[in-house]
Amino acid sequence: MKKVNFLLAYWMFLFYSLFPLGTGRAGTLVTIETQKARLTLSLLERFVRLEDHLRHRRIYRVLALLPKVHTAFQDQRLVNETVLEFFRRRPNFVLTVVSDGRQALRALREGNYDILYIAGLVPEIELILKEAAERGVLTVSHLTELVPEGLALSLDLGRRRACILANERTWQVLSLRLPAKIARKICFVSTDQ
Amino acid sequence: MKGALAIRRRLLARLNATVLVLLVILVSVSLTVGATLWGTYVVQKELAREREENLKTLLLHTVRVIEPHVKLLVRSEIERVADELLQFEFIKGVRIVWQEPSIYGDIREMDILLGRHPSNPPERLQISKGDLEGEIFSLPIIDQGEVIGRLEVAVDDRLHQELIHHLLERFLFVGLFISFLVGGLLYLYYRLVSHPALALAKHMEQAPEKLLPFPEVPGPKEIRVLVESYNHLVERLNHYREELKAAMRRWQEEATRAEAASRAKTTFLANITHELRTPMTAALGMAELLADGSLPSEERQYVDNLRNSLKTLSGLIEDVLSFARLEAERENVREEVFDLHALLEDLRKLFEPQFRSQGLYLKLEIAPDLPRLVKGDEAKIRQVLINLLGNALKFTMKGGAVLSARVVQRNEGLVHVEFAVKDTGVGIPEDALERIFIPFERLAPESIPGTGLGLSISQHLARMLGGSIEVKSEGPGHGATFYFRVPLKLVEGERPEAPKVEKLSGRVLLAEDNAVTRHFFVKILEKLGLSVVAVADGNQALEEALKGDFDLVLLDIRMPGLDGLEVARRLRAAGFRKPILAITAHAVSEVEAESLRAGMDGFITKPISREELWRHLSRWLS
Repeated sequence: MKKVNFLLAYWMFLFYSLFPLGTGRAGTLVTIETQKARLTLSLLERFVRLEDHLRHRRIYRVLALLPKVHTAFQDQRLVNETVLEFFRRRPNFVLTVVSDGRQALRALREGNYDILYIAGLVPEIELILKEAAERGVLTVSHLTELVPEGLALSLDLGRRRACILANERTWQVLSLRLPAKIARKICFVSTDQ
Repeated sequence: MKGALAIRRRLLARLNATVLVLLVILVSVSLTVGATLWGTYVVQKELAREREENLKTLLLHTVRVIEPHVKLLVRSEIERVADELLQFEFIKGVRIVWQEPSIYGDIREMDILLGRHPSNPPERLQISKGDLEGEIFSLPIIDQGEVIGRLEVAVDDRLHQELIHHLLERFLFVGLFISFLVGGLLYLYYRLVSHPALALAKHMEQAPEKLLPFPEVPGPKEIRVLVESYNHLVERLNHYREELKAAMRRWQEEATRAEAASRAKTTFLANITHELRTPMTAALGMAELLADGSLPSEERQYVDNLRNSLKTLSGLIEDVLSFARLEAERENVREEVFDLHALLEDLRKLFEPQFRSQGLYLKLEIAPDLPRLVKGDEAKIRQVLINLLGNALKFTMKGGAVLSARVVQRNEGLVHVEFAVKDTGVGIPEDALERIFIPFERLAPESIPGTGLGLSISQHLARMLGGSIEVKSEGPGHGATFYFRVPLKLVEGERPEAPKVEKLSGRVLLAEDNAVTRHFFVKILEKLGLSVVAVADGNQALEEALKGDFDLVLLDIRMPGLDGLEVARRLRAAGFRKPILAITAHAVSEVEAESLRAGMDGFITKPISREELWRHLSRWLS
């Protein structure tokens, strides 16, 4: 490993300071998004075991919306891979993958799913969330900004202490129920008008 | 202040080029070492400060980068950042310590509810890379005001120290190199420039009688030119020296010859003066004695004619001797207080009978502001005026002459007097106005007696007195006017009246080898009331003076056996305290000076009248 001297280090530091959004920074963002997705999926795995309506099932039908977004940073692709990898290792989750909003809507209308995991944003996201709620599908995503839109479950990792986020109205519609000890940890968010 | 100046003077006096060179080298090395150490210290301090600031900024930046990874427990990213930090040579180890994110606790609680048994949660999470030894820099990882972890970095200071040492060594090396280079150049300058210059100065200082050329020295062109110039100068100086020596030899020979000639001239002058004056004194004395006696009228007329002829002859002799003395520059100016009015009146009295006897007039005109008492050489002024009046008498056939005196300039204590002798004589042609002052140049016909020296002597005397003589004439037949200007010192007060010749008393020893002169002096002295013992030579004079009780001794200078000078010396050596006066016909100042050195008290020149002798003796006798 080649060593650099002190002055060179100083100039390297200046370089990083002047270009904080370089490739190294992009790689870090991808990793963080992936980690968020992984933690949210871990929460989901435990949530279905504790929720009154879902905990007795042996098989969970999961519809995963994994949008194909072609960007320079490749962050969506890594998140998608993480989601796929997570469900692939858990056989009690039967996975159906769609890559755009229309497919997702059609899948919701035609299929009978227990869970919809949204890995990325699509233009029809509001319709999808509404359709899922009407059909009693538990919507989950690591994108916390979807909770006010009607997303049932997410994980806010940007807060000082991590918090389980839930849409209050969607929970009422879905009649979701958790043990009190866990329910106290949930932060309910109202739906935007 | 004075002490500091004295110390500085002493130091500067002891300072020489060698000490200066050593001093410069010493100061230069000291300054270099001092400046290097100080500069290194400053650089070290500045580098340390900068390094610390940079390090803090780097760590702060790193904390900002790893903070989300720590919060989400992204180990791979945290390790990658730690590895990146280790890329810096001065960072030897990195440790990141943080609290477990709270979501993991929530998930663990869910697992417990689900009947799972998760492992005990770690109290602290930690990633360490490298060697955490040495100086540790630590920075907290803060999330929304809460410390959630800490980044620690071990910094290796050796690189920094090596850099400082490297700088120090280089600074010292360059500084010392420059110092020694400057010292070497100074020494070279001293060796090639100062040393030869000093050696040249020493060579000049220790130069023997004959200057020697300076050997060739290696050095810059200027020094070689200096040495060559010096050697050229030495060559020329030696040449001039030889020429000067030869000239000095020639001059000494000339001086010796001139001195011998001068001595011969003086001797001749003294001799001729003595030889001429002695018989003249005797002749005049005898004529005077004859005139004092009772003679028949015809013989008295003969005696008067004889006296007049002798006086004319004496005047001619005095003119020649005066001119000889002036030419030989043997005359001295004497200053005495005299009555200027009385002098002019004397001259009128002296010349008026002669003018009248030739049917001429002589008038005296004295300006009212002419001072009476002045200080100057009365004898020489009298001599000049006698010459001018004598000329007027000789060259005026009808009419007469006017002697006038007036003040032409008056300064503080000094008065410039102009004497004018205006006659109605034959006059002087314009082309002859200059020639009349040339010695032996005579315009007068042969029938008029004269040597042609009178005006020349007068001009010499006027110049000696600081004055001048001019002549104006309207031409032949219109007479001439001579102007004699002379500066005189003013004297305050009145001059005492000249005492009348009175009888003196005392015993006088007279030593005179010339029998006629001795007889004349004996008679004169006896007429003055003195008792006289006369001897004919120096031995008798010495014997009589020591034996007898004399009030005054008169010694002729030139006598057979012991001369007057030797007699005076011996008398003074024997303790004789009475006054001794020299009587001599040597009217030469050297003789007078010699007589005073021999112990005499005065000097009487022959021929001398009775009044003059009385005036001299009355100073010593009652």
